[in-house]
Amino acid sequence: MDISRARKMKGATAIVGSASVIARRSDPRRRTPLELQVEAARLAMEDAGITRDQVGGVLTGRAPRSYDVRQLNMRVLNELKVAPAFTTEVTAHGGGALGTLELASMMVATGVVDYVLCTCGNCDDLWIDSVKVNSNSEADPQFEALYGPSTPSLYAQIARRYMHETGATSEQFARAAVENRKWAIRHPDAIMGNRGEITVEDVLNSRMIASPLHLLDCAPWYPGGNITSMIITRADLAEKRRKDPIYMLGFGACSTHEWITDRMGLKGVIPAENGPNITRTGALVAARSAYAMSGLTPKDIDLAQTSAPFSFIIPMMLEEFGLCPQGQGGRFIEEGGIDFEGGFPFNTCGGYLSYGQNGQGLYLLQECIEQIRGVAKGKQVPNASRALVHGHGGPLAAHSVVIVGSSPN
Amino acid sequence: MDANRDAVPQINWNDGLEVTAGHINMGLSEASPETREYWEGVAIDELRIKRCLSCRTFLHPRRMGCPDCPRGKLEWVQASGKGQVYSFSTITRAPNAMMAPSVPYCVGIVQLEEEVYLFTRFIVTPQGSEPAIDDPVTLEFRVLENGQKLPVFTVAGRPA
Repeated sequence: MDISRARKMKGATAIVGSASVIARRSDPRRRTPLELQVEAARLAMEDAGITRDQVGGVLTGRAPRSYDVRQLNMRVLNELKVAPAFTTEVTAHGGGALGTLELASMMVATGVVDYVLCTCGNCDDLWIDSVKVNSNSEADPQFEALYGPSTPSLYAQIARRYMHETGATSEQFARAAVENRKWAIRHPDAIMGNRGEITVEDVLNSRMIASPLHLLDCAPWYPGGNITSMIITRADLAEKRRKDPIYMLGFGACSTHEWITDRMGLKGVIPAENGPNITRTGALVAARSAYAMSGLTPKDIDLAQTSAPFSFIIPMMLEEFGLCPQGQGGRFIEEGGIDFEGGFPFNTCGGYLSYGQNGQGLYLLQECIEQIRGVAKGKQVPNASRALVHGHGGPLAAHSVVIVGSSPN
Repeated sequence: MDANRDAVPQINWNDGLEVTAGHINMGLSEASPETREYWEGVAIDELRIKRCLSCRTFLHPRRMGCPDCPRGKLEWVQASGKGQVYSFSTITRAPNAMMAPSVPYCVGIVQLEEEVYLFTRFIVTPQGSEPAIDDPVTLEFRVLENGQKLPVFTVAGRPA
């Protein structure tokens, strides 16, 4: 990374339009992911005030598991009747969702195109049994899947090492789930909100799924879908279109492996420069890049969202984002670091654990946008002006971190 | 001679496995030709890994080249079978019906003494007890739930 060049990206581009569409199992008709992506894309274009002829790029995440078409991006542009210069799927698992925004920023900053549509999200849970299907795609088909792993058991390998290496405890993981739930109770779209508060004991007494992960350490799949689309443009164009664009202040990404065991074959490159490990993730690299580009430090961030399908990932990511010292994530949580009352605002929609997990989503970024504009659907963080959002996919394999703000500085 | 071997479907790994939907060939699945020798080793109770002929580093059987030697050729070598627990998880909710009768079972990552890491099944005695990280393990070959013979590692469980 050439920091002096990368620093020129700070505030150079902005989100000028965005929209989320939510589908639920209780809807009168089952909707397809393509239908929802197209609807969200049209709403985002309307929000940005742009017309079809202005769309210079279309970036999608990978095709949803329940809608396994080749070149989803072509299906989307075909339906929208736009004719972009550049279009592709960004397929770094869940890391690809924020990856669309990052690539779009680099595209528009050059001036080669003016507006790029990024659209991501699925509604797998309307069409398939995600619990049964997912472990088949999270595991190496030849060297892992034959041993019968479940998805939680693959992530549990990392949890066990993290506990071994840092002394983090199941009680500390449980505390993260407890605080996430409190945010969810205030958020109308969070699926676990109506279940009420939980305690550390509730988490530890819930049935073991794959040691050391209990049921309440695991995120439920969102019972439907949340599809989000965004329009990215240069800051000068954004400012002409609306008074409250959301500026891209810094971003970074890092993908380290496809399957968890193969991560142990990675060495000689960050984050495995000190030898093979599964506890130092690409999120560290992504966050460092985002901070370097923005010139900001963790102290400048007002709230953060992480894609944590299991509770133990929350303390890990607090460390990777520099919100607490390395190796201290568990203790930070135990000491109230992310408490709903008085802690750092973290996973303000309830997080995957209590909002519900929806693959490939930009909805955590949409939550940041609404918090920054002061129109949060759930509890509003007072005076929020900068937010950090993290997306990941694969077993902590592909990571993106984006810092957005209400001003270009 | 392994008594179970006749029960294992004989697959020509050199051709790979075709994925079919009805009568339509959807393409090539794994295992694929570059890991043929691994599965031929498993058939005769040998755990084979790869090694770079240039820098002598041992590599995962999946590797198709040495990350550090652009022109390094790889050879197949037999692993000693010695290793230790790197990480593990005991599954108490099976991912599918085929695995349900086997719970609780322990999956994990074994660190071979050659510094190669493999995903595996830990056969923990007594069943349901758990090993600890760094515990020594012993290589065995067993036919698992899908009817395929696989390398597994036995380890003594710790008292809860």
